[in-house]
Amino acid sequence: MAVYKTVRELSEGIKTGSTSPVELTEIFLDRLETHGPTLNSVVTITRDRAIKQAKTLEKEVKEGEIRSPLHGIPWGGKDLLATAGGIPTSWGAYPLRDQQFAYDAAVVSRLDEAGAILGAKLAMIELAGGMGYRQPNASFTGPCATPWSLKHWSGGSSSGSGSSVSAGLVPFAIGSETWGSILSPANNCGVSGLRPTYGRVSRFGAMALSWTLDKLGPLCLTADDCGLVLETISGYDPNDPSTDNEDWTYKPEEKNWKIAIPKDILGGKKEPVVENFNESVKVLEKFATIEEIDFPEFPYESVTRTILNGEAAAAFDEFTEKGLAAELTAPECRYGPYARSMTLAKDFLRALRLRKQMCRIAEDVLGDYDAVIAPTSGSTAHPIDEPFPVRRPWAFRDIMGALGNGAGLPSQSVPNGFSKEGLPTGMQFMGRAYDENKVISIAKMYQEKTSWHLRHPEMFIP
Amino acid sequence: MTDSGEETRILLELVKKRYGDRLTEEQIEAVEKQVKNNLDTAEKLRSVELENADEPYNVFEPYRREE
Repeated sequence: MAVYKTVRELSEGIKTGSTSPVELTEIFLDRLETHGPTLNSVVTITRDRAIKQAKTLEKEVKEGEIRSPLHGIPWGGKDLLATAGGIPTSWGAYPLRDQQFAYDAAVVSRLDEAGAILGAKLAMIELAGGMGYRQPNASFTGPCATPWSLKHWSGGSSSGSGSSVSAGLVPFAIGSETWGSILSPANNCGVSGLRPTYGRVSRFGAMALSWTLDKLGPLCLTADDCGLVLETISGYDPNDPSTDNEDWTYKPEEKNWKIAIPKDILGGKKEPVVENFNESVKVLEKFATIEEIDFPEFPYESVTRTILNGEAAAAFDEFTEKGLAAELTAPECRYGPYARSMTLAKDFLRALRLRKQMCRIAEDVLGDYDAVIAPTSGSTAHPIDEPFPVRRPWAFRDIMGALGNGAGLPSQSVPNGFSKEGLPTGMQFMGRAYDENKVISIAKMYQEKTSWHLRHPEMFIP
Repeated sequence: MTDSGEETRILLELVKKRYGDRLTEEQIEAVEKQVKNNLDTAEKLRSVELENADEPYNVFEPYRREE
C-alpha cells in the first residue's frame, strides 16, 4: 500500500516499476476527496491536471526516463502558491477565494519539471496569519484539524500542508514560514517540517507576507524526505533576487555531532513537551556531544516583530485600503491590519539596523555547533474551538522563532513523542545559515534511532 | 518602559481618521490595544545602542562568517 510510504520508498517503487504514477495519483486524489473535508485541510483538488500529468510521467517511466526522485509522486501545495490554468489561489481568504493567476509559482514549476504531481491546493490560515489571528477558525475553509484528534488544531499557517501529510492524503507538501508557519503544523500534526535558509527557495509566485522573512519549505513523513524535496525546489531564480546563487545538493552524513541546548529553553513549556524533549536528548547523546549555551540579552522578538509588522502592512496595503479585511473569517483579522499600518518608519528602520547585530549574534553563538535544539512548540495542539491565550507581544519570549526567522536560519522539526492524550510533540534542530545538510542529517540520525515518525493516526490508516 | 499612552492616542486618532468609517467602537478599542502593543514592542528596540554608521540590513542575506 502506497499510503504512509516515504517519498524515498515511493520513488524506489516507481524506478523499479512496482509502483504506477497513475495508480498512485488515483489513490491520493481519492484520499484527498474522502478525508480532506473531515480535516478541513484541502481547498482545491486538481484532479484533471494531476491525472494528465501522471499519464505523461507513467509513459516516461516505461520509456526509461526518470526525471528526479520525485518523478510520479503526488504532492500538495499551500494555497498561497500561484497556479495557472484556472486553478484558484485563495491565500486562505474568503474575499480572494476566486483569485486566479496566469502563471505558476517557481516552486510549482520546479516540482512540475521534476515530475512531481500537484494533487491539491491545501488549506491555510487567511493571508498566512498576516492579519493577526488568535484562534484556529481563521480560514474560509474552516478550522483545520490535526489527524491525531479532530478536536485539536493542525497548527498554522501551513495548516493543510501539515494535516494532509499526517493523514496520508499526500506523500509530501509545501508550506511557508514567516514566523512558525512550517514548524507549528509539523509539531501539531506529528510530521517532519523543514524551514530552509532565507533565499534557499524562490518565493516567486508565492503570496508575500514579509519579503525578508518569508521562506518556502517541505513537510514530509521524514527529515530525509525533506532533503529530497528541498534539493528539487531550491536554487537561484532570477525572478527572486533573494535566492542564493549556488545550487544546493542534499548530502546526508553521519558523524558525532556537536549540538547546543539554549539555557532555560524548557521554561514555561508544558509537561509532555519537557518530558519528551529530555528523552530525545538521551537519544541524541548516543551520537552527539551536547553543551548548554546562553543567548545574550537582545530584543530578538521586538526586532523580528517590528520587521514583520512593517512589511506586512506594506504587502497588504491595497488589500487593507480596499476594505477587504472586513470579509475575513476571524473577527480579529477584520481589524488586524489597522494597527500595523501605524508602524513608524523610524521604528521599522531601527529594527532593520538591529537585524545585522542579530545575525552576528546568531553566528557567534551557533558558530561552534552543528545545530541548536529546542522543543518545536511549547505545547501540544491547541483545542480547535478555543481562542489562543492572550499575551502581550513585546513580553513574549520566543528566541528560537524570532532569531531563527529574523536571521533567516534553517530549522528541521521532527516528531519526538506524544502526550497522554495522544497528541504529538516535536523537536527542532536549528542551524547556521545554509546548514540544511547538517540539520537534516542530525534529524535523520535521530529518526533512525526512534520510531515516532512511523506512527500514524489510526483513523486515517487504510 | 515609557508611558506610551499619549503616542497611542495620537496614532489611534490617525487610524480613526483614515479607517474610522469601517470600524465599530469595539474594533477601535481592540486596535487601540494593538497600537499600544506595537509601540511597546518598538520601545524595546531602544534597549540596544546603535552607532550612526549602523545601516539598515536592506539587502538582506543570511550572514555567515568566512572560514
